[in-house]
Amino acid sequence: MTISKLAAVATVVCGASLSPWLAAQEHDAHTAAGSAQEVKITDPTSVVLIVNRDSNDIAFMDIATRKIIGSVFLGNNVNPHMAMMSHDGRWVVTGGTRANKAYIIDVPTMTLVKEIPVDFAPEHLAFSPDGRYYYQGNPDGDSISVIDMVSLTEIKRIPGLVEPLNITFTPDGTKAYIGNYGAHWVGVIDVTRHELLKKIQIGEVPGVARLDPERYLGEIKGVSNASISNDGRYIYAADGDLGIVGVIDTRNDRVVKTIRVGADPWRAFMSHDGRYAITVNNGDETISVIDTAHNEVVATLEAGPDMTGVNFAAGKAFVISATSGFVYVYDMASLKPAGRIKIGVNLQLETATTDTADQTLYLASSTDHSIYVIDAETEAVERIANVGLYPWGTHIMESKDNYCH
Amino acid sequence: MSHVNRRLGLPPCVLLAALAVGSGHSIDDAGAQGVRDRTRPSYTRDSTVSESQAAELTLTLAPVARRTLQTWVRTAATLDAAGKTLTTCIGGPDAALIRAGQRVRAFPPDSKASIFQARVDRVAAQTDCVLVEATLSGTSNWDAARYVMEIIVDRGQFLAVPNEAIIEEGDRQIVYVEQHSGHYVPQELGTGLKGELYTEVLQGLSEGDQVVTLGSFFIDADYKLKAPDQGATSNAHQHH
Repeated sequence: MTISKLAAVATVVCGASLSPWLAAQEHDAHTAAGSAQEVKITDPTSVVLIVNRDSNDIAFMDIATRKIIGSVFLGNNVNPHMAMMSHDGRWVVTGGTRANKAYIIDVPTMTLVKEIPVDFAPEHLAFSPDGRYYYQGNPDGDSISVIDMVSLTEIKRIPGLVEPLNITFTPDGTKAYIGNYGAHWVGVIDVTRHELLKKIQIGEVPGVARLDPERYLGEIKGVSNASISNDGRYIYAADGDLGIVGVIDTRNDRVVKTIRVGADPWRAFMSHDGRYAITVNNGDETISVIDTAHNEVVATLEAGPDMTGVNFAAGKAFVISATSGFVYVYDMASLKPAGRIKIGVNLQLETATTDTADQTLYLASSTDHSIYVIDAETEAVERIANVGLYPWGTHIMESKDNYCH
Repeated sequence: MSHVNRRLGLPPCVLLAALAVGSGHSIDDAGAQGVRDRTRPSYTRDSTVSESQAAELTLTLAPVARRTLQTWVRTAATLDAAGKTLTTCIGGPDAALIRAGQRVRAFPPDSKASIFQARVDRVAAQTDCVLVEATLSGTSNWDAARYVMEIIVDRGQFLAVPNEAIIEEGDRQIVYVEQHSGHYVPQELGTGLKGELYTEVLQGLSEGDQVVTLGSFFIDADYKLKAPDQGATSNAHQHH
């Protein structure tokens, strides 16, 4: 089958039009006198990525049909942790925690094109806004690997971090903020030079909370993520040990306020309209709702154990309670609990992504190797089984809820 | 379950941390078994190297010498209908490195073993990138339009060590240098240009020094296990 015919068929199946880049690629394929690779995905926004930790692959599920189109095997004992699609939909990148490598997948052909050695135990990652760089966090190497997406090489390794978990770029792409879970500070990276510019302490660190990360890494619960406001002005950094959220002004990189939340906040999740930041507090099984206009907690609500994430859709917040088998629901207009959705029993729920219409959630459930599709409006749940072994997370291009744990 | 019992079940440091912070919250089992406790890969934290394992290592040494450093500019390219000419557009700092005549390796992403040789024969500046055309030395028989292209850029001669000899340690870079047979010491070095295979040495090593390449991590681990409280660069270490 020629590329043009296949692309046309796939376009009809996926019900979407070709992006300019894919159209250009199709044109390139025409010029190659039929010697092209098979294009399997014509519209990168039409698929959900599923990170299968134990089958060591990234699976692609078609959103319209909820069928697995295919998967890309990365290698034995790779253990991918998080995957993300580049802003143009051309690449999918993932870090193999056990292989100490970054992996680059060509989306249209679903082909692994590059393995890049990085530092120890790569987990979370992010693309710079212009798509030029992919920052791969290496928590056990205490570093960030800078991958150049033109040359597909690691062009620099930024040291000096402490169990760096998540990476947040400013909208203008000049800086990146790093959550250090093994410490109580946020790292600021100069993206032009790829250098650690500054360490911003989130709050006063008393007594034994001031542990030496070198010796007590596993006992420190620091900052897992620097969550950014919609306008890029403020960073909300929750600190687990301190039970606070530090608000950082990105203009001068100073903490302008600390907000007391519940015990052991995992991280702050930003509502899509930017009005609220929600922390999930695993120490006391609550969530704290922060009004970002006034930077104060406006609601503290009961939740479940072992919360891993929050998704926003249909005017609600969906809070994943990993070990209870429930997703807790909150009405974002009244800021009150709105029930909970029973996903199942004896499950280990991981994280979810939300579609770009803010209508549907795709929740990874590792122990039964399934994805649960949740209709945010009706709260109906559909199980998609056998997506791969131990699905750890999901991702949709341009979703506002693309995160990992 | 009472909060008191939950607290008593915590490691002392966590309890003290909670008291010291004075948050007024109780921390229960769920807090102690936080998200990160489950997601953190434990297998990379508890690996140890015994003396017998270290003794079985076959170490590889390489001399510090002047070498040609290369940068390999990798990009995707399209093969023309004749199966002869690869075309791509390269942006950013890499664009300035490309010259006509440079050697190129090219292969389809699906290829497991076939690598085609080529040369850059045309470089033309565009608005936002540099248009590069390379001609294959033979004709590709692969049924593929898109190729991965590696343009090999020679950066010049530098005093250099193999990349695999360098251990990143915080913001320092360490190599293990052979003092005499069987004895290795860690040496901090300053580096310059990082090539694909070798890294320029600015300070810390002299031409002719022998550095450990294969096995350096094991020596490093062994060194730290035996001398946990000593400075990483201050004491000689004997390894057999």
